Amino acid sequence: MILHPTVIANMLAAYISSGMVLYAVFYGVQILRYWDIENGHELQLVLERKTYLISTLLAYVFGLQLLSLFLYIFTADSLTPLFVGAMCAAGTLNVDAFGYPTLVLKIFNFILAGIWLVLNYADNQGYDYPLIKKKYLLLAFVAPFIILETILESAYFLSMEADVITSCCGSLFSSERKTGIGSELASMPALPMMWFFYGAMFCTLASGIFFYIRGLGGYLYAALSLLMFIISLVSIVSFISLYIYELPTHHCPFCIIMEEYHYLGYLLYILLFGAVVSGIGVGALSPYRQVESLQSVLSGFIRKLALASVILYAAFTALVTYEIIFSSLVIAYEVVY
Amino acid sequence: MIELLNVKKVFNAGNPSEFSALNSVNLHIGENKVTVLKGPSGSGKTTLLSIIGCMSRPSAGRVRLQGREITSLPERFLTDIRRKTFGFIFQQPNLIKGISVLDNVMLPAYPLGEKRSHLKNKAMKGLAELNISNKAASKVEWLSGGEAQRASIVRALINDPHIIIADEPTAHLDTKLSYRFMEIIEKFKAEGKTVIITSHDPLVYESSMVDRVVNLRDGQIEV
Amino acid sequence: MRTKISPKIMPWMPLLILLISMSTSYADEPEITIKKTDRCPVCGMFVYKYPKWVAQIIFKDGSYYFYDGAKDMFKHIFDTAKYTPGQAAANIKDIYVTDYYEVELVDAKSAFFVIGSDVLGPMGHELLPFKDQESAQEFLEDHKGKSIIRFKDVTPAIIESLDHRT
Repeated sequence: MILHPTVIANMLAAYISSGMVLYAVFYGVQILRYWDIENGHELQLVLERKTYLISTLLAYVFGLQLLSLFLYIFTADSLTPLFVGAMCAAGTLNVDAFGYPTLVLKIFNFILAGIWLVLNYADNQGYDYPLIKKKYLLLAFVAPFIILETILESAYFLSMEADVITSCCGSLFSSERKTGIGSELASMPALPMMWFFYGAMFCTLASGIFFYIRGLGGYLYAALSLLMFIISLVSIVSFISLYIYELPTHHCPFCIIMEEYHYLGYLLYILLFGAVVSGIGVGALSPYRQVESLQSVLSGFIRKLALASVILYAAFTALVTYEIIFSSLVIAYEVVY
Repeated sequence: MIELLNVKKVFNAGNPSEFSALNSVNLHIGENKVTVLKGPSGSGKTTLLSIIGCMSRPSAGRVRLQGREITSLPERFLTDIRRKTFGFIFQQPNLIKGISVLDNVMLPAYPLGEKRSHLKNKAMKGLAELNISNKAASKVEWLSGGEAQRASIVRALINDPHIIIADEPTAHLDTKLSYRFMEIIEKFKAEGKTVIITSHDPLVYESSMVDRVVNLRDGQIEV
Repeated sequence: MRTKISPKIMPWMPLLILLISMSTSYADEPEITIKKTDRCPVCGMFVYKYPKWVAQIIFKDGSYYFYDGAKDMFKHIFDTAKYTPGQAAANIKDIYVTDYYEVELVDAKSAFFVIGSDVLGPMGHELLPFKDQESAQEFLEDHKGKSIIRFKDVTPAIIESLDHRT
């Protein structure tokens, strides 16, 4: 294993998170089985005390989980000088079979962690722990994925060998390769994809603003949010990257986080991930608007989430548009790379 | 008004030094009444008082305040209720040294975010009612025992609480001041407040304005 | 074709010749500095990070590109329009590669490339350029090179085989 500080940080974060999650799940199971706010038995009071501690712990763990996605990409980017053929995180992730699966799982867990944090915040607003069972049920669902992510991440870092020649992102995300999702995304025709992106974003923003003003269509917005997230990721590979790099064949989604591009990638991804989590949060909390102890606060909070999501998506679009307008690249209709 | 159902309090549970302070206490405190909790030291009076006043949670059992269940409340809701519903008077005045009497009196109201001038008026009025307004700007170290006790009473009243809780309030007061204190309690009763006092001072529990005396022994109520 | 030189421009001829020779000699100078923002048009890598491997192509219209190795340079030559739309290989004026031992730019058309060696460039397996046969041979023996080829011998198949070696 390569004892780079970033690698150690990643492993430490992963193991601490997994440990805390397991501890929390143990109590979560007890809560799911025995929780009854009405009775005054000793176990109930103990659980009430315990949930305060565990919710706080988990809030920090899931917060750490959100950061760990970016730390992981940063690590992959930092390790590129060690591997021949790698010039950005894309190459580093490809040095063994576990790099990309870990990344996919981390993205999935980011979204789940974000939803849990939103649910936890809402639960804390009620005086009778209204969402406690849902919260711990979600925890029980997320826990195995977090453990799996730690296992894959460990496998990734442990099987890294310095004398491997890895593929450069130029070939991973080029349309020449016959196989691989990288090339499939890269071969999506740039200009049609661009219009599709703007069209979908317009629909998503419109739905979000409508929900913010009227309070209707929360579930629709949540679904559109998720869809827009996927479309945006595809768009980054398909055409946004071309404008940022000003190279008609370079589709890599990882080079944009490099210093030479002013760390633009981090900003784009933070905006995007923030937008999807708050958007899905709207859908996750909407079923509970009628819960008595949350009546006065939940609707307002859900609307704020929707607004946040809309603002983040809008900022993302503004940034992308800025890059496209001020890029010296011009994509003509015939060019399909 | 305040109901305790099967309240138990155990300290150091599971350890060899496990100590059961309260055993299955069932109690009903009446509205606008003065209730005295009487018992020898170690009988659990202060523990019971702190549970009633939302300052600690029982190990088992439930407490209802005006119909609302408070033992399961998350901390932030509990502090809100505590701040608005209860006024606490302790054995020692427990005033904060280094700041003036007026500042001490206004302190419990800060988290509620009231306008400062408004708050100051309230505080000065309270001090005037207990005849210590001339000491408003003094440092607390310069107050006599009785004056300090009165300042702490004004502090307890600053949020206009519905329930007054006093833990051995006359322990450090002479007879004259103790009578004065009981007169203040009578005033509270006249204003519609509910008062709960722990004491083993006969001057308190034999007073005519006391509506009910609850005898505690070894963590249980003696019938 | 016979050109009649008008007497009117005769006095300007020396100046003209001076200007022309100056401009051509400037274009011959292979010492254009690499900016931090220069990227290889084939793979997008920042070239300034790999000064030992720099290759360069200058087009007739004055535009030029840097590469992070001879391999990417050849990829650009073989499919110029793909990486630089509107540009064609026929418009190439000068090509330079960095001699591996001397670390200075030499003309690619006269260089000797060693392939199959165990020395890896930023893009993996590379064509290592040398300015003469002797240094290329020395390198081949030291680093288990397979063969020495000239510029005109390089084909897309050879480039692909370098890419697919593990």
